[in-house]
Amino acid sequence: MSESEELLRDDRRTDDDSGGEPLVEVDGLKTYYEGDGLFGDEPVRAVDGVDFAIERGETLGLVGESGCGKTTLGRTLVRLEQATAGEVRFDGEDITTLSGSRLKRWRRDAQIVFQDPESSLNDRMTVGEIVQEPLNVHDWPRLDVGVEGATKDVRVTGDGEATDRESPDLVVDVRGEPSVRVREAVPVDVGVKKRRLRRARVRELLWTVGLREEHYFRYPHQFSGGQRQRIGIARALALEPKFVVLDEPVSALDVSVQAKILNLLEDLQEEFGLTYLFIAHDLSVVRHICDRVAVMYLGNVMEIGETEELFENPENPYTYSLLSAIPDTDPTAERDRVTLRGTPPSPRDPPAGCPFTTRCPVKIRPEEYEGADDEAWEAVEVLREVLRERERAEKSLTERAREVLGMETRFSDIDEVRREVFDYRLPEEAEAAVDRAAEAVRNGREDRAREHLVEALETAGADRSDVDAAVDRFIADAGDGEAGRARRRLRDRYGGVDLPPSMAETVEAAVGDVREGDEDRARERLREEFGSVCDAERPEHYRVSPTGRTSYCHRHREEYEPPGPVFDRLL
Amino acid sequence: MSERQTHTDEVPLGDRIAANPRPAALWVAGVALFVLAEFGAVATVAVDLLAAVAGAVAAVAGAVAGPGPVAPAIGGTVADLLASARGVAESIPTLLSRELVPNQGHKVAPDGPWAGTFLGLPPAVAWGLRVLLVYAYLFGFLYWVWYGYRLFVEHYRQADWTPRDDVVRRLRGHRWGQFGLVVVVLFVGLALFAPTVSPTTYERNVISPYEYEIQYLEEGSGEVQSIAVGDANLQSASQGGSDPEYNTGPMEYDDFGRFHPFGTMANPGGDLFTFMAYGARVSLFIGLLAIGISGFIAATFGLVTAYYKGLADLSVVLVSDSIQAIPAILLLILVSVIFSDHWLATFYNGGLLIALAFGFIYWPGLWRSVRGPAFQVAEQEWVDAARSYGQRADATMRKHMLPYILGYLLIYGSLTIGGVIITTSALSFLGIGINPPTPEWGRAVAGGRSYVATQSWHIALIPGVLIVLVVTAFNALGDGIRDAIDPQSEGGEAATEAAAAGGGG
Ligand code: SF4
Repeated sequence: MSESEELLRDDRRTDDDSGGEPLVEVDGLKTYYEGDGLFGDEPVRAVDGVDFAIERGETLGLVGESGCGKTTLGRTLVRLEQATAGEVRFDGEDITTLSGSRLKRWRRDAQIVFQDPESSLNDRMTVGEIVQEPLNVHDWPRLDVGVEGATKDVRVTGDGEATDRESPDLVVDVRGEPSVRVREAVPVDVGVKKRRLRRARVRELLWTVGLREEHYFRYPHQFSGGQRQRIGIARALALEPKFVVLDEPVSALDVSVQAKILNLLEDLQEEFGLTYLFIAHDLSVVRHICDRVAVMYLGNVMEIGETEELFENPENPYTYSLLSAIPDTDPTAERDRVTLRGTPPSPRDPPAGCPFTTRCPVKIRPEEYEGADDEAWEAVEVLREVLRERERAEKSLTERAREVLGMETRFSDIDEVRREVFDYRLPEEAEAAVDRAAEAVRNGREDRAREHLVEALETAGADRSDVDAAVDRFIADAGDGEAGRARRRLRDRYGGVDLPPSMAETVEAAVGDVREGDEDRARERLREEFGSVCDAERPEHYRVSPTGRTSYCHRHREEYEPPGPVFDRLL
Repeated sequence: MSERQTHTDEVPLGDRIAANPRPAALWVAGVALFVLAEFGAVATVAVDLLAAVAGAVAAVAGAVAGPGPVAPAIGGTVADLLASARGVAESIPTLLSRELVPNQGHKVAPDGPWAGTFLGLPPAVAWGLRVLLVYAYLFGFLYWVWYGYRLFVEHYRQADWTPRDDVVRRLRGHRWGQFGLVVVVLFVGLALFAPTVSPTTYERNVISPYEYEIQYLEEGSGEVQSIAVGDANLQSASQGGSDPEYNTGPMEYDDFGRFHPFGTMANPGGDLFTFMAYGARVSLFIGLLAIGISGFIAATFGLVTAYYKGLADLSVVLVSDSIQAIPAILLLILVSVIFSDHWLATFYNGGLLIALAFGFIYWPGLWRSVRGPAFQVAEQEWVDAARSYGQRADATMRKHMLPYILGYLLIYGSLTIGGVIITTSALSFLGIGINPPTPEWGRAVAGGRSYVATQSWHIALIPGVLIVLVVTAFNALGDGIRDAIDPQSEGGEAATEAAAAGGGG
């Protein structure tokens, strides 16, 4: 080690130099998982093209439903997952391609705190051993030497090594009378063995995160969830990282404990100047602790911006829906809810256009349907969603065989789907005749009612043979004062979908396609007629506020109405 | 900061003992006594081990370099050295030796005292005393080790609780597992102390019975006479039928004043207990070596496949499937035939070869049983955590995964060892695997099976019962370990009880 002489200049970056540039810059990042099988399944696009930056000392929140890729994104940032494409620049250096000793060196700067305190600590090791392990791995302390205040080249000789790290263990100050400073965490008698220094450091860390010294020899089993999480935090801080990914660090804890851990995290951030990526699904926690928030859906960042602004005045339709799903803390406030239908599509097969297109309540419609009835439009969307789902549903071998043999499969239940999704209605004259029949029943004129009904059903094209039974049923129900139900029964049985004629035509044609077993053509037909830019093109990240907030939605384009007013109309 | 300077640092065990030396000193003195009592035997075993290693090296060197003038010369010197070392070691008195409590002698007169036995006691009593001494020593020693652990926990351990404490507590309440442990200790004691607990030695009994003579009191003439051991064995062999003249059953004396705890064997005779004791050595050697080999392979593959998954896993699956597709017995027969003239087959009359083959055959099974647990541990976040601070892959496997699958290895290892013992016996029964004269339990069963219906039933029955007992004991031990390290099995019971209670109420 005494060989390690090095020439050093005082050219270490000071905080002023780096203050301008973000600590972490994510650029077009994609993380895909290959399928489990070896046989070319579509990869899971967990993170599908993400750009953002994290400023020094800030806390960026990352929210989204489970499965949206937020955890994978966080794990990619600390190199627990390998990025498929794109860059993650840390202090200006792309870390997705690091390997070997450079990767190991970098790992000191970026750490992660895990979600589940039960699983994040090895139960067979004492707390002391757990917190000490990172120190052992990195041979801490390196007793590296930094030089300050030198105007000319300085030669450092002796054991240990010269460094350009920002916080060396020993600092030689050559201004005026030369002096040597030792870092605070190292007790003064540096002559002792490294092992003892490490143990002292572990005690220091335990104390920092609010544990007691006698916990050193205990095992994780003997601690509560909150305490275990503190141990995990101490381990993450052991190597003095600059950047910490907090992967839902409090979601597994009791509410009373959550606040304490959150306060601890905030204190630590202040004390050590940490930069956080805070992954969470609890929006109130995010609002409390984060400076900025990124909202993720299906591997994409939908909206990112200052926390308060984003919560107060969401711009992106997905953020809007997500926020409106939070139960309001103020029960008197009348807040309308947007309820999202269905589930997110599979990340193996995301939509070609906007990721939110399958569920978006304010999706852009083709011009000719701009004014269409909302309920009717919704019904058509649901039908499209159902067909999409079916495309994804794995068909079993027998089903495939039956399909090939032209036998009925479960996909032939399209009529049931149709009945489920749409309202039904008889032709106009038939409806009028039914009205008269109901009137007649009310007046006690069953014979007249019967005539009207037969007429109505004949106009609706019913089969003669079962008309009598249907008529009897109607009269019985209506006689019990259940005219509404009686009418619905008739509509369900003999009516057609209750849509404007132009829409009904396409829908019936598509239903016909499915009946014939050609679902692809049905999907295609529906897309051609009802599809819009949301289905076809990926949106861009539009800047939506002076603070630099961006939103990923076509509605921010000039030619479309922005999401806000559309929502207002919807509710 | 100053109030935290008072902390007690982690002190090395040595310093902790120095601070309170009494219990440790007491314990070490105890261990010294135990070792002293058997020092001669320990030294002999050490020399024998050395000789075995030297022999193996010589054999390998010979096999590699072919016969040459130098190797034998060196080998000869080494052999001489070892022989003299053995002589020295043997001359050190040991507590548990045949010489100290001899059981072989003869009556002086028809109902007179015995000559040559310990204190003139009848051979049966002398032998019983020796066996008692051996097992008292063994269990005493084990207790002392346990006591040492308790001392450590009480006086020197810095942690006031470890997960191991729970395992120990559960094992202490597990009667079935303890039964297994006791039988296994009895079996291991039989193997370990075979020369001491046997009424005679294997050398005299089987290997070269015509080079030794015994003296006995001739009933008719009332005179003490000499006879070769081989002849005596022949005349006292158990040969079935119903004439007591031609049978020496369990716990009986033969006509030559020799006591046979398990009776004698069929032609050419000999003491069955001695055969069983030395056979236990063979079984234990093969079982432990086979489990050691397959356990090591299984653990390595288990860790590697769980850590890297994907291709690594798939290739091990393929290899292990191919091995498991071969019928084990067939493979063993094949191996013992192909290698019958190979130098490997010279160790232990094929015992080593069989052990290696078992190790090769059994690792896929063991690997499959630890694969699940290994994959489970690999999913734990602490493994990710280790990766996130740059821990090396091998260190992660060793520190963060291995401790969790070791228990499973122990369980399945002790279950499998029973299988190895029984299969070895089955092979010898079929006349392959371990060749005479190396004793093997299965061969005793084979040799006695035609006498099962006669008065000489003991020849086949006693070895058979012992095999069953030992295999059961290993399984019981495995059950005990499983219940101890896997508290779920406790939960399982509780759940069943709850269900029963719910059904009743
Ligand atoms: S682009 Fe905007 S409006 Fe269209 S589906 Fe996506 S979020 Fe909804």
